Amino acid sequence: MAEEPTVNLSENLAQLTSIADWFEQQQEVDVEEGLKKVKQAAGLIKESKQRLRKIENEFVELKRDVEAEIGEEEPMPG
Amino acid sequence: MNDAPPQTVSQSQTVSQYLAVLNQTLAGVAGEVVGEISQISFPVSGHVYFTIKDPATGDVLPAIIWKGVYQYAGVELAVGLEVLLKGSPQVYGPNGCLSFIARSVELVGEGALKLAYDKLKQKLTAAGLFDEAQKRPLPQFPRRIGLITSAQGEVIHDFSGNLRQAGFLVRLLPSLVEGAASGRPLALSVRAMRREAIDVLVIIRGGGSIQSLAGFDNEALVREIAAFPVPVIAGVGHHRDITLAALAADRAVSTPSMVAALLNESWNAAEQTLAHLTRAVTDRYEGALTRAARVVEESFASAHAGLGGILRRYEHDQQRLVHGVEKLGWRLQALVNGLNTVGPGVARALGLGLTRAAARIGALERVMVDNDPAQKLRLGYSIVTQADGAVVRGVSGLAVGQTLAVRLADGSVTTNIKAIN
Repeated sequence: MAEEPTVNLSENLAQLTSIADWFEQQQEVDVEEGLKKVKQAAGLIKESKQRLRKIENEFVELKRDVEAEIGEEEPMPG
Repeated sequence: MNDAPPQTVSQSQTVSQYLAVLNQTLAGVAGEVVGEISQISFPVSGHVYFTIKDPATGDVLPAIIWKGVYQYAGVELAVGLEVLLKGSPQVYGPNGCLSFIARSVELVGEGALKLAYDKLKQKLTAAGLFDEAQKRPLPQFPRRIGLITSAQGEVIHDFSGNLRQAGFLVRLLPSLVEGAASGRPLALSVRAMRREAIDVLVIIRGGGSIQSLAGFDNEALVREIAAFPVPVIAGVGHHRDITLAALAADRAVSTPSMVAALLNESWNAAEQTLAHLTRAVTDRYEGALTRAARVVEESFASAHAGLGGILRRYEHDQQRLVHGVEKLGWRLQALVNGLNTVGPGVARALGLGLTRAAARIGALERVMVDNDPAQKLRLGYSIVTQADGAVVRGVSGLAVGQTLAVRLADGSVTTNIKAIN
C-alpha cells in the first residue's frame, strides 16, 4: 500500500503565494526581512517539489459482491 | 430370475417432488425471449406480473420480474412495449402456473429506447437531478480514486496510461458496462463504493450505440450517482445524446484519457504554480540585493568624491594663500628696491620743487601786497558802493538823490548825489 504523504500541498502553495505577494507589495525590500522570507520560501519549495516528484500509482481490485447490496426476493403469488 | 415390471408405486412422486424435478429441468432452459407486453400489473409487493405475446402468432407467455430486479432494470414497462427478457421458466407450485422469471428486461428497438430515454430525461430533469447548481467541483490534489469499469479491454489501460505518476491510489470495482443489463450492476457498484474512503468516483467506458450504452440511461444508476457523497466523473462516450448517467455526474467527459487529464489537472497546475512562485520570490530578492549593492557603491563614490573635493579645495586655497604671500613679498621687495633706486633723485626733485614753490609763493605774495586795496586807500583812493554793496565804477546807472557809501582809509561816509556830470 502506498504511504500516505504528509505534505499539505495546498497550504504550502498558499504560503508561497503570500510570500510572493509580500515581495510584490514592498516599495523597497528590506534585505534582512527579505532574507527571512526567502529562507521560509526555500523550505516550502523543497517540500512541495518533494511531493510533486514522480510517485507510482497503485491499482487495487476490490473483491465485492455487489448483489449483496440488495437482498434476494421470494416469489409471491401473482 | 424374474424381471419384475417397474414398481409404479415406488416411482411415483408427490406433486411437489415432481414440480421440483420439473423446475430443475426448466432451469436449464434459460434463454432470451422477445415479445410485446399485452397485459401488466403492478401490485403493492413491487413485483411486476405481465404477459408477453408473439405478435405474429398471438402465442402468449406469462412473465414475472421480481421487485429487486425491476428497481434496477431501468425500464418502465407498459402495455405495447416490445421487450427482450432474459431468464428461465418456472412453475409456481401453489397455482401450478408456468411463468418466465425474467432476470433482466430491456426495450427492443432504437425508437423505443430513444422514447424511453426522452421520457426519463424529462422526469429526472424535473426532479432536479441534472441541475448545474448541484454540481460539485473536483477536490484539489485528489489521490484516492474509486473506479468502476470493465476490468478487460482498452478503456482501463487508456485511463491508467494517462494518469500522472502522483501516487494515486485507485480502487477498482469491475462491472458489466455493455447493454441495458449493465444498468443494475453499475448502480449496485456505485452503491457499494459508498463504503470506500475515496476523494472522487470515476465511471468509464467507451462510446457506442444507444443499445450498447442503455445501462448508462438506467434510472437507478442516475439516482445513485446524483446522491453519491463525493464528486463523480463520468467518462462515458455517448450516442446521439449524452447518457443520463453523464448528465447526473459532477463532471462528464467522453474518453478515459480525458478523465485522467481531469484528475491530473490540479497536480500539473501545482507544478507550474510552484515554478512561477519560485521565480517570483528569487527574482524579487535578487533585485533587492542588487539595488542594495548599488546604493552602497554610490554612497562610497559620493563620500570619496566629496572628500576629494574638500581636499582639492583645501589644496587650492592653500596654493592661493602661498601665492598671495609670495606676491606680497615680491611687492614689498619691489617697493624696497624701488625706494633704494629712486631715493636720491626723488629727494633732489622734491628739493627743487619746494624751491620753485617757495619762489612762486614769494612772487604771489608781492603781487598781493602791491594790489592790496587797503594800500590803495592809504594812498588816498576811496571805494564807492551803492546801497546794495555794489562797487561804483562809473556814473552809469546812478541817479540824483541816490545814496552812496564812500570808504576811506580810516572809515566810511554816506552821501547823496546832487548832480551827475
